[in-house]
Amino acid sequence: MKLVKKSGSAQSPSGSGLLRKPVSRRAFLRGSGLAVGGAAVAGMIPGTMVKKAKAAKRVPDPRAEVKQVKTVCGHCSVGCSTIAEVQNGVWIGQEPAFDSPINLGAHCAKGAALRNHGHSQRRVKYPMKMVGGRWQRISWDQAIEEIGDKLLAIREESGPDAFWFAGSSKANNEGAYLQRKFAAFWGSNNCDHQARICHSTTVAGVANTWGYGAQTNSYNDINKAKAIIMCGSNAAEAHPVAMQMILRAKEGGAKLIVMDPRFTRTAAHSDVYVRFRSGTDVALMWGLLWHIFENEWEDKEYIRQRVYGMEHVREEVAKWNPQEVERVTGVGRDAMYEVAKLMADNRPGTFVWCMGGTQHTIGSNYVRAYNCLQLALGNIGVEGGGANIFRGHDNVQGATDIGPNPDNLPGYYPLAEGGWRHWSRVWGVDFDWLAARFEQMEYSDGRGGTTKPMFTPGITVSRWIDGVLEDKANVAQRDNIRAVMFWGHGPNSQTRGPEMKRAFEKLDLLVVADPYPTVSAVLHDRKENTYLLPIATQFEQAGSCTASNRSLQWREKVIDPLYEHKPDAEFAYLLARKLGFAEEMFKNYEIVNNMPTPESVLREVNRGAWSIGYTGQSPERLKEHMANQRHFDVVSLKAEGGPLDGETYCLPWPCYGTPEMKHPGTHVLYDTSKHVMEGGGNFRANFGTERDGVTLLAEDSWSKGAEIQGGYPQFDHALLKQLGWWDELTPEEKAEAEGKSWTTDLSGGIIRVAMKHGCHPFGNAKARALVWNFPDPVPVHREPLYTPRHDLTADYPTYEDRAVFYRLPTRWKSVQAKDYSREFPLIHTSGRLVEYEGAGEETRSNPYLAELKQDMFVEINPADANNANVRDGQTVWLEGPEGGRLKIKALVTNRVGRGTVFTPFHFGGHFQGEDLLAKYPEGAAPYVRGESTNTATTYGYDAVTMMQETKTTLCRVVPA
Amino acid sequence: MPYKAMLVALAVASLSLLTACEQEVVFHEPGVYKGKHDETATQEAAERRQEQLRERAMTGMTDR
Amino acid sequence: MARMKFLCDAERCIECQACVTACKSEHEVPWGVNRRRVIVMDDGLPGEKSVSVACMHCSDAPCAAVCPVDCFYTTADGIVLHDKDLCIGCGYCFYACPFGAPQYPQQSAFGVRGKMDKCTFCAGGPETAHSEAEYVKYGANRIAEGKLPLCAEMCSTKALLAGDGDVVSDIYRQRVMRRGGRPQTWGWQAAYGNA
Repeated sequence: MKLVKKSGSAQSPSGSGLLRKPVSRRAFLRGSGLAVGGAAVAGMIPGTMVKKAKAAKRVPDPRAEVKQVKTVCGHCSVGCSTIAEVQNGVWIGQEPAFDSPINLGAHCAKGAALRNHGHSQRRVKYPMKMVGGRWQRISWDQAIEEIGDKLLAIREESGPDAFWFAGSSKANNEGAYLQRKFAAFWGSNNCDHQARICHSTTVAGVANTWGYGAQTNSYNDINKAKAIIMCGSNAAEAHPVAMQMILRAKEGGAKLIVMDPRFTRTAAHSDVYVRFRSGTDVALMWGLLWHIFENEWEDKEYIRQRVYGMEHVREEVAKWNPQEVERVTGVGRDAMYEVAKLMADNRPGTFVWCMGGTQHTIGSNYVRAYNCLQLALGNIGVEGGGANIFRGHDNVQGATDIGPNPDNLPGYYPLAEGGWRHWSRVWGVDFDWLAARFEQMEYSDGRGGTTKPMFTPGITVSRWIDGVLEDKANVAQRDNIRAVMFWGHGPNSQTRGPEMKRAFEKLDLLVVADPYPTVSAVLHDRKENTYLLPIATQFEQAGSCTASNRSLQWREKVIDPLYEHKPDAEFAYLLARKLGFAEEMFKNYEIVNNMPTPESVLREVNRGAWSIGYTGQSPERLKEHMANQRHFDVVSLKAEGGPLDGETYCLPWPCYGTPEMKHPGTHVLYDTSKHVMEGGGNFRANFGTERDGVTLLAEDSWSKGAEIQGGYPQFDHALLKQLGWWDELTPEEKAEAEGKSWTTDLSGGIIRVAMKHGCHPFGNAKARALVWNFPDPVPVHREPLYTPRHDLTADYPTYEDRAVFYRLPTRWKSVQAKDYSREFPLIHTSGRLVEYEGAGEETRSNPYLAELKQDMFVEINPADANNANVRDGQTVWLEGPEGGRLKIKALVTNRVGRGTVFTPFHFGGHFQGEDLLAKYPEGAAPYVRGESTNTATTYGYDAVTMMQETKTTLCRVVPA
Repeated sequence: MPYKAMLVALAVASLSLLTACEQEVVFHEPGVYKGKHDETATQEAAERRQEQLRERAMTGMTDR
Repeated sequence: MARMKFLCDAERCIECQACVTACKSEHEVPWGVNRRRVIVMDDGLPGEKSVSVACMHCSDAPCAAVCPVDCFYTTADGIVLHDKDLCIGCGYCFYACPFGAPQYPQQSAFGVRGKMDKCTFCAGGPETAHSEAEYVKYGANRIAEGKLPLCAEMCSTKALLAGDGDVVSDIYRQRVMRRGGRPQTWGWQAAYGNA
C-alpha cells in the first residue's frame, strides 16, 4: 500500500527543511503532512474547477467598484466577523474584520477559506429528482408541484405527522424560525435540528438548573477567569478562535485544566491534563466535589442564598471517595485533589464543555454535575466564572431559541395550550384554526393515557429512523414517518448508519434541501420519489444569527444565490403556498420576489419571544452594532462611548422588553452585581416558589438596585397589582396586560414596570441542584449501554426501557444486558477536526480545506495497535457491535490512551468499504469522501432529551 | 551520416555567430539579480508604505 | 527603515491551519503547493508544540546565494522575492533553504519540476502591482495596498505575527512579559542572525 503519493520532484527523500518533513502523526494521511502529489490531485479535480478558480480571481477590475460586505462565518458558534470584497457580484476577496470584538480579525482554517463558498462547483446546481435511480434536472416549479402533491397525498392517507423534517442550525434566525412556524402551520411537531444531537442535554440541564438554556458568560469573558476547566471540549479544533481568549487568560495567569479521554490539541496547551475513561463524567465531577466538600472549599454563603437542594448532592458525592472514583474513572486521588484545589484556589473559575459532555445516554446528568460543581464553588453569575458552553454551529443557539424544535415553540414556550395561544396571537391566526391543522386522533402517552398530538413532542432527529422502521403498532402516532425532508442537515451526523440506509429506502418521499447533495443523496439505493433542492448558503441571504454567547450578529448578504439556489425563507414561502397555508403563515411579513424580508420576520420574533428577551434586538439596533463594532471592549463586550455607549455587543439575549426600552443586552447571566438595566440578573423563578415547605426563592440576594430585596416570583398582572405598581402601566398596556404574565403580555408593559423597579421580570430564585422533574433528580453515574466495564453495570445500571418516549419505544436496560466488551474491547469515541464542520459535506467540497485532510482515520494507541497487529498507516476495519463497519486508516498515536480509539465524524460518501461517488449528481461530489464514523456507532439515547450516544460505544479494529 | 553532418554544421555556425557579436554579449555577474525590475521593491516604495504597515500591525497583530 | 519579519509564537499556535488556508484562498495556490505549513513537534505527546512555517525572508537569503540564474532579489524592507520568468526550477534553493520553503508545482505527467513558488510576504513579484500577470505568477500584492500577509492577519490566536521586525518583537515582548516566560522566537536566529 502506498501511503504518500509522491510527485517525484516535489519530495526528495534527502530533502532538508521543515516544509518537507513529515510533520505530525497525521502526516501519513494524504495532504496533511507533505506537499501532496500533483498526480493524485489531477485525477480528483476536474478541469472546470481550474476554469472557475480563474474566474474567481482576486484581481479587481479597475473600472468597477469593490464593495465591502460584513458577514459572519458559518462554521462554528464563536461568531467571527469577516469582510467580503465583492465586485460585479463576484466575491473576489476576504479581509479580516479587525474591529470585531469577538475575533479581532482572526479565523480558523474554515473561516479563512470562506470565499470558496461563493465559487463552489460542488453544489447541487438546480432542482433534481431521481428517475429510475438516476438524477434528472427539473425546474423549481415542477419540484414544488410534485413534492407538494406527494406531501398532500401522504397527509390525506396518514395524517400530518407522517411527514418529518430536519431544519437547520445553519439557517439564520429568521430561516430557522420560519422552519418551526412551517411545521406548526402544516400541523405537526415533527421537526428538529442539529441541537438535538449537539447540546440538547446542555439546554435541558442548565435551563432546569438556573433558568436559561445557554452559555452563561462569553468567549470574551474568559479573559477574566482565573481557572478554566475544559471537560469534553477540544476548542483548538472545534472553536479555534475561542482559544485566542483562553490563551490570553492563561497568559494572564489563569490555570488551564483539560479533562478528556483524549490528549487533544487543546490539552497540549493545558497546565494540567487529566485522562479519564470515556463515559464517566458524573463520577469525575463527584470525585472533585468530594475533595471540595471534604476540605470545605465550597462557597457556603452563596449556596445558602442562591442554591436549592445542594444537601442532596452532598449525599451522593459522599459515595464517591477517591478509591471509588479511581475504580470507575481511572483517575487517581492526587490528580483529582490537584484539580479540585486549583479550582478552589483560583476563583472565579469557568467550566467549558462541549459534545464530550453532552452526547451520552446520561448526558443531562453530566451537564447537571458540571453545574453542581460550579454552584458549589460560587462560580455562576460572576464575571470570569460561568458555564461556558461552546455551541457547535453558527446559529445553533438561535435555532434552539426560536427554531425547529419538536418539544417547544419559539422562545421555549411550551407545547401546551397556553404556548400555542400566545404564538397564535403573535402570528395573527385563530388558535382553533391552527389546532385543526393537527392530527385529531389522540396518541398514547405511554402511561396508560392519551395526549393531543398538538401538545405532544414530535420525533427527534436522533430517532427519525425508528419513526420510519419501528412497527407501526409501537409508534405513538397515527402512522409511521413516510416522508422526510433534510433542510440543511447532513444525516451522517446521526448514529446507526446501516439502519439509516434501510430507513431511507423505506420512505415514500425523500427531499434534500441543501446547498450540497449531502450523504442523504447517496447513502441509499432509492430509485424514485427523491428530490434535491438547491438552497442558498448563509452568504447568499441576510439575517441575524446568534453566537454561542447569545449575541445576535447581523449578516449581510454577500452575493446573490449561485446557480438556481433559493434562500430558506423563499423556499418556505413557495412550499407553503403549494401546501395551502402561505397566506396565514406569511401574513405579517413584507414579501419581495417571493422572499419574506428577514427584517420583517425578525420584527415578528421581537413581538413574541418575550420569555428569553429576543424582543429588544430590532434589525435596526443589530445593524447599528455591526456598524460600530470597534467601540466594544474585548473583555466586557461593552461599548465605551459612541452612539451605543453602555450597550453590550449585539445585544446578547435576554434583551428584555421592546427595542425602545433600550435594555443593553446581557453579557453575563445571573450576575447580581449589576442592575437589570445594565444586564444584571439572578436565577430564574421558573419552578414555583416552594417545594415540600422549602423556599425556592433566593434568600438575602438580589440584583443591584432591585426594589424587592430578596427572592420573588415571576412577574404577572397579579404581582404588579399586589406590589401596587399596576397603575404605572399606560391604559393601553393595562388593556393588554390584564390577566397576562410577563411572557404573554404583548405590550411589554409588565416587563417595563418590573425593570423600572430594578426587578428581573423572570423573578429571583435559587438555582436547583436537585431537579425533581428529571429521571435522576440528583445526577448519578450510570454505565454506558455499550460499556467496556460490564462488571460495573451491577452497581451503576442504566434506566428501565420505556414504551413511549418522544413517540417511540426506547431501550436502555435491554441493550446494556448483553456484555459486548470481550468481542469489542475498545471504547470508540468521536470528535471534530479543525478542517471540517459537522457532517462535512460543505467543507469537504472546499478544495483549500479538503486538501488538508484527505483520509478518514482512526487514532489508536500503540499498545492496542500491536495487540490488533496493526501498523501505523495501515488500512483497517473498525467494527461496531451492531454490525456497522468502517474501512479506514489507522493512525497509531499516544493521543488516545490504551483501550480507547477515536474517529472524526465529518466524513461521508463511503459506506462499509464502498465509495459512493457514482451516486452523486455529476460534478457535485465533495473532493474528499470517506467512511462516516456513524456507520459504526450504536443505539443509546439520553432519558431527558433523546440525545444520541456518540462518545462512548465499543468497537474492535482488525487489519483489512 | 546526414545527422552528424548537420550537427557539425550547426556547431560551426554557432561558433561563427559568437565571434561575430562580441560587443553584445553580457558577461555573467554572479549573485546579481538578473530579473525584471520591481517597482514596489525600491527604497522609495518601502518608505512610502512603512507607516501604513506599522499602523496595520498595531491594528491587526495586537491583542487590543 | 522597516524590516519585514514573520514571528510564530509557539505558545499560542494551536495548529488550526488558518494561515495555510488564508494563504491558499488569497493567492489561489493550486492543490499540492504549500507556501505555508504548520509543523508539529511531539504530536499527541505532552509538550506538543506547533509552529507555522513559510519563507522567512532571511537576511542574506541562502536561496539567493545558490541560485544559478540569480532570480532572487530583496525589497528595501527586507522581503525576498524572485522572478519566475528566470527561474529554471533547478531546486538548488530548496536544498539551501533552512525552512524548506521553496515549492515546485508539477508541470507534466513526467514529474518535471515547474518554476519555484514560495511565500511572497503577500508582496507579489516583479510585475506591475495588482496586474493579472502578477496575480497569476505570484499572487496578491497586499503590501502595496498597505496590508500585511493574510496568514498573520487571520491567525486564530495571533500566534503568527508579521510586519516590521521592531513592531512585531515589541508586541511579542509584551506578551512574554505578561506571560512571565522565556521568549521562544522560533526560527529567528536562523533567519535573521542576531540582528
